[in-house]
Formats: sequence, C-alpha cells, structure tokens
Amino acid sequence: MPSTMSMEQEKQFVVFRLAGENYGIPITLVHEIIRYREITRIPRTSEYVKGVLNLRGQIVPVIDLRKRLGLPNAEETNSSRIVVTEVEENVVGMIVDAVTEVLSLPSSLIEPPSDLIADVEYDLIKGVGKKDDQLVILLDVPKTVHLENE
Amino acid sequence: MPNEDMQQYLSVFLDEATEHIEKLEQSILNLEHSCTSDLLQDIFRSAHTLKGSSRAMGFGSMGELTHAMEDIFDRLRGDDLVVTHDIVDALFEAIDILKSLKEEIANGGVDQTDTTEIVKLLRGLLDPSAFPTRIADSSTVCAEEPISLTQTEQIAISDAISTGAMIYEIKVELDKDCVMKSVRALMTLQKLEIIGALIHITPSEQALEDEDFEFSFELLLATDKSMEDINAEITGISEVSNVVVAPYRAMAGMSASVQTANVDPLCKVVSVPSPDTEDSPIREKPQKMEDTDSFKEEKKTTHHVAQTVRVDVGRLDNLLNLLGELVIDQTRINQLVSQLHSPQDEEIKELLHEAAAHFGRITGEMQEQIMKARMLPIDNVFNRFPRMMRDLSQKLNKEIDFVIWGRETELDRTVIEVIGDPLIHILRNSVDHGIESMEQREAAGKPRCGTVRLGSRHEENYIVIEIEDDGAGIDIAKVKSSAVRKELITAEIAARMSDREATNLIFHSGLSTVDQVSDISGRGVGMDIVRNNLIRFGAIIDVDSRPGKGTRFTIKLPLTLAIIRGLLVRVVSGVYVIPLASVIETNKIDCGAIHVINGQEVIMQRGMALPLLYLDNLYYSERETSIERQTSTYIVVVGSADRKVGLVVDSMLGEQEIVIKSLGTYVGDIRGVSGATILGDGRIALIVDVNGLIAIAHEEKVKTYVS
Repeated sequence: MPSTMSMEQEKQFVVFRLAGENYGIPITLVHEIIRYREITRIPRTSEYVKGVLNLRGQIVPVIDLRKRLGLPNAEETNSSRIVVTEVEENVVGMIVDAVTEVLSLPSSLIEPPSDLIADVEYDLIKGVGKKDDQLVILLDVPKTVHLENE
Repeated sequence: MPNEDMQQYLSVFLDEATEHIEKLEQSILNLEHSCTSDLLQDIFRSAHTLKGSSRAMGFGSMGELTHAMEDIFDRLRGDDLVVTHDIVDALFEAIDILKSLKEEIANGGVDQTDTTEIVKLLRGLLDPSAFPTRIADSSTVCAEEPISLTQTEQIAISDAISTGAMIYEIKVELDKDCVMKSVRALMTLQKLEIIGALIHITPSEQALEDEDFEFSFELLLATDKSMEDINAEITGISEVSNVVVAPYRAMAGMSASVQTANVDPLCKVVSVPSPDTEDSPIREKPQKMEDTDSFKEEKKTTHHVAQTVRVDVGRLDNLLNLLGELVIDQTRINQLVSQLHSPQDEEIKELLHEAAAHFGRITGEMQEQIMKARMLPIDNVFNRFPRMMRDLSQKLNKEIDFVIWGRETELDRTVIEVIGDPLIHILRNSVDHGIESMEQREAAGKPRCGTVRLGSRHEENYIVIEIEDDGAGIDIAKVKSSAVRKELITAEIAARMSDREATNLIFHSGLSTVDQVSDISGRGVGMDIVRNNLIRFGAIIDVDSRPGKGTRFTIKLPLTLAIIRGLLVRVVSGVYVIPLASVIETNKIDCGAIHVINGQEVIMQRGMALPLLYLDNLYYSERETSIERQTSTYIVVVGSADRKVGLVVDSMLGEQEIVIKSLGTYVGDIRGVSGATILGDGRIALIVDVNGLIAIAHEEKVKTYVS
C-alpha cells in the first residue's frame, strides 16, 4: 500500500494569503518571490495591472491580485510580497498579502472548485486543495495573468 | 542522435547556409563584372560547402540543387564555359530557390520546394554545345575530360601510387606578355622534376621547347609533396601568372572536384590579381576560410581563423541589463558612503569613495564595449541591394553601374533593422526617375551607363548615408507646378521658394512628377513615407539636386536607437522621460499668465497661443495639478513647428542618456508611451511619446466638445 501511495503524483504549490484566504499556485510556474517594492504606474491599461517593476534590469509587469480576483483593496504591508510567475515566457508579478509555505498535494486531495468560494472570480480557479483542515484555493495562473481584453 | 543535438546542428547549419547563400548571391553578381579565377574559386567553395553540409543534414533537394550549381561553377572555373546572362539568370533563380528551401528548413525542417525544373535548367546550361566554349585549341585540355594517357603513363601512375606518392594535375598559365615562353615552361618542368616524377605533359615537351603552345600547359606529377609545396615551387618562377594544382581527377573519381591549393598567405597561389578586380566597384572580402579537398578523403573541410563567435543578441541585452544593475549598486554604495559620519570613518570613507569611482569607470567602459559588440557593419543592409539594382536595371532597360562604398561602417543593429526599407525606396527612385534612358543619356552627351552610388561614413555621433545618381536631377519647375496643382502650396509661395526648398517638396505625400505610374515607383507615396519613417527614429534626410547632373540624398542617422538623450521631468504620478529630440524649449511660466480659451488652458508665447497639457490628466484622467498652489511652474514645449504644445511639469530633473526598453508584450503598446527606462536609482521611468500624447489630447478635446 505505501508504495502505491508514494506512486501517486504529488504536486508542489506555493501557498500565499490574500484577504484572509489561502491560495496556491504550482511551484513550477513561480520564477521567484520578492519583497514588495516600488512599482511604476502604467497609464491606459487594465485596472488590475498595477504597473511595472525593475527585476535586475528586466521590466516586469505586476498585477494587483486582489483587484484581479475581485477582492477588497488593501494597503501593502511589511509582509506583502510579489510572486513573480513565468508562463510561456511571459514574466508577470502578482502582489499577495504574504507567502506562507510550499505545500505538497497529492492529486487525490485536489477537488474541483465549489460554491464555497463564490466571492472570487470563479473561472480563475482550478480547484481546491484540502490538507490537514487547511483549504487552499488553487489558481489557474495562465488565466489569472492573461489580459481579458486581448 | 538526440533531438536537441539535431536542433543545435540545424541552427548552425542554417546560419552557415544563410552566409553561403548571401555570399553566392554577391559573388554571382560580381561574375558579370569580372570573372576572375579568385572569384570563381570563392563561389565554388561556397557551393561545395553548402552542398556538403546540406547533404550531411539530409536535405536532399538542397544538396541536389547546390550540386548542380557547383557543377556550373566548376565548368566556369575550368574555362570551358563562359559567363553569360542566361547562366547568371539561372543561377539567381537557383539562389532564390535555395533561399526558400532554407526558409522551409527553418520553419518546418523539410526542404520541399520542387527543384527538378531548376536543376534541369542548370544541367542544360552545362551542355557545351548550347553555349560558346572558350578557345579550346589543341594545346589546352578540356578540363572536364581527364587527360588521355598512354599505357606507359598509366603504368607509371599505378607504380607511383603503389610507392605512396600522389598524382597531381597541374595547370600552369604564363603571363600574356611573357617573352620567353619556352624558357619559363622548361624551368617549370625542371623544378617539378626535382620534387617528383613528371608523368605526362600537354602539349608535349617538344612543343613546349618549340614555343608551340598558347600561354598555358598541363602536367601530371607524381610526388609525395603537398599541393602547397608544388605551388610554392612553381610560383617562384617569374612570369607565371596562375597555377592550379589538383589531385588527378581520374583517380579521385568522377565527382572529385578540382581545388586550387590554397591559401596560406605566405605562399599565395594565384599570384597576379586581374586588374578587373581592382576596378570592380565591389571589393572582395578577404577569404577567411580554408577549404581543402584531399585526395584520399572524400570531404575534409577545415575552418581555421576562428576569431569571431556568434552570439545571440538577447544575451548581449541581458549583459547590458545586468550591467545596469551594477550601476545601480554603485549609486547605492555612494549613498551609503555619504552616510558615514563619525571622524574615525573618514579614512574608510575616502577609500570607499575611490573604490566606488573606479567601479563606476569600469561599468561605464563595459557598457560601451557591450554596445560596440552589438554593432554590425552596414554591409548587412547594403549587401541585398546589388541584386535588386541589377533586376531593376534589367527591367527598365537601363544600364547602371552600382557603386557601394563604406560597407564597413558600423552601427547598432536596431538601426540596421529599420534603415533597409527607406533605402530601397530611394534607390528605386534613383533608377526609375533619376537615371534617364540610354537614348536620353546619349543625347545629353552622358555615358550610356548611369551611375548610382550608395555609401556610408561616420560623422561624430552620426552615420551618414548617401545615395547619389548622375541622372537628370529633380525638375524643380515640375515639382513646383505639381505641388501647386495638388494644392500643397500656393502659386505665390511656389514662386518665392528657393530651389532647395522646392526640391524638398518631393517629401510631401501625394506629390509625384512622373506622369506615368510604373510598378516600381511614381505613385507619390514613396518619399513621404521614407521621410516619416526616418524622422520617427531620429534621422534627418536631405536632398540636393542639380538639373542634368543628378540627385543626392543624404541621411543622417543616430548610431543607435537603443540609447537616446532625454529630459527627465517630475509630475505628481512620477518621473517621466521626454526625448530631447522632440523638446523645442523649456520655460518657467507665471501661473497668472495662463488663460482659458474654449476650455483649453493656453499661454501666450510670442503672439501665439500655446496649449498647455498635463501628463497626469492625459495618462490617468486625473486633474491633480499642483499649479493651483503655486505661483509659477515649468513647461516643456514639445512637438513639431506647426503643432506645438506645452507640457506642464512640477520640476525638471535634468538631461541624461537613457537606454530604451520595451514594456513587453504583456503590457503591449500604450498610446502616449514609447517605452521605459531604468533610472540610476533602479526606478523605472516611462518615455513620453510626444506625438501620441498630442493625439490623445486632441481626441479628449473632441470628446469634451461633444459632451
């Protein structure tokens, strides 16, 4: 039995907090995590595009994840982080309240999204992971960073 | 072979193929002007290498086509085929097909364009009966036929081979004005007898003694010396103009190719350069690669002189980025140093200062070096024009001598990318409108053959490109009347215009002095696009024309588009960069002097109302202006002469060279913003696109009127 358990595919997720909830994204899509830093505003772009930041000489767009998910606004704090993701060569940062851990989830513990989380943008959610009474909302990163108006 | 290995080979192959195809195209073009043996060797080598590598990569069609081309070159080189228009045309067609084959390989990995037609065409050209052959008198041996040997000679050959010697075919050409041909010939024989055994001589030794031969003779030599050695022996003899040494073909098999033993600069083989080469407008590049076919191995290609490496530009950009980070760190160190206050820190402070300054100098120098590494010779653009000019002149039935100078001028690849199209337009215009027909030229007492000169040179921080023709020049009266007819200017203004001003009218849209629209030019849309494109990246174009003498276009380009000078300004939402090229002046104004006309704030300047714009307002529709709290503010006057506006800013932070970066595909194009840059302190500042901004302002105004 244990051998079949270990055979089961486990995925690792970076877990972060946003408006009191736990969210997770696959660690394979995370480029790096940096402290919150000054972001340069970009005019005439989507509301949730916060601006751009300088990542070692590279100009990286940053999205305000609260705005993207339809959550209430909040000021950046000391624990605020920018999770820099890389999807199909697009490097995009996401502002989160805090990064908490890296979580291994076997696929058996991942459930499809339910009504439980109806107050965030439903189609950006890929599933819900449950581990030790902890609920982690798993985001569809490509959809999240993608600009709708394209 | 693992797939990624294959992929790696493929990209190397494609790079090489591109180079060889380009080189072939250029050389074939030169063939028409001057057919020298040097040139033919070059061409042959390129075709041969391309054949080998495409076959090795399994691209059969490409291999077959290059093989057919190689055969042609071989025959041209062997002197039994002369260069004709038909051959050059067929070769160009082959080049075009090669290009599309290469594209197919680059895109999908299979070369599928049908090559049977072109191969058949090329093969057809090889049939000597269809084309004039070069004087094949009794003394010259047709190169494609092995020298016929007597039985004794054949036995001598097999004997020589059994002792490990090699058989070489040697063709010696004497100077055309050589007075003692027989002496030179016999000297050659003597020299060769020392290093090996002469098996066969055509014409016979007797004929050579009697001077009963033209200027060349051929030998078969059995020796254990190398081709270079043989060459060295013979070229030492005076009045020998050309020596070709090759492994004996009958031994190397049918497909073996003749190769001039080459090219140790110390024993240069082909000694006397034909005067044609020097007159030829297009200088040949020094041969960098050596390609030797040996007798025993089917193919053995050696690449010496690897002084350059191919680097992905992306990597250089990354280097530049990282360097920018170093500069930021340096600034931070400087700031930290200034925070050291206690007296015992003084010494450390001093040392740190020194170190930081040194650090700064080095990063500055590195930046310069990397920028230099991104530079390419302008020939990367120029080299595609000779072919175009040839096609054009044929199409228009005009004889044109196209001269290129200053091919080696280096400029940034960003400029290389954008300069091609404007140049094509101008060159087409020169051929179509500038150069007259041959009859007209003769009537005007000019040489039938027109000249178009294209060149480049450095001038301070600019590159100057000149396009000059010796055609009819611009008919100023015609330009003026056309401009008046099209209502671009009034007749009165036209009458007052200087010739130079009138000449520059050709850059207006809709103006064409040609009565007939050809498919090459004449629709009156060319030159204004040319000028607008050039202006967009900060270039200046000027035209100078003399009736009957010709026209000269001068384009002044910045060395790079990656770096511009900009004015840093601060407004409420942050720091912005205004390209200095679009800044007309800066002023400090009294807020009391601002008037409102039709809902638009303006300020009177030299009797003109200058509209005032606010960046924050246009970008974010925020009406946050600090003006109300102040008595005076700064404005930056931007735009072009007829469309000036004043940008109201809180402060001006100075002028600085900035590296332009794109905001990336994710953010996409944003109106009013042309890009971004990273400032010395690591922050990002947006670069203002002045024209876009003015357009936005215009629309906003229309909107307010409507509402």
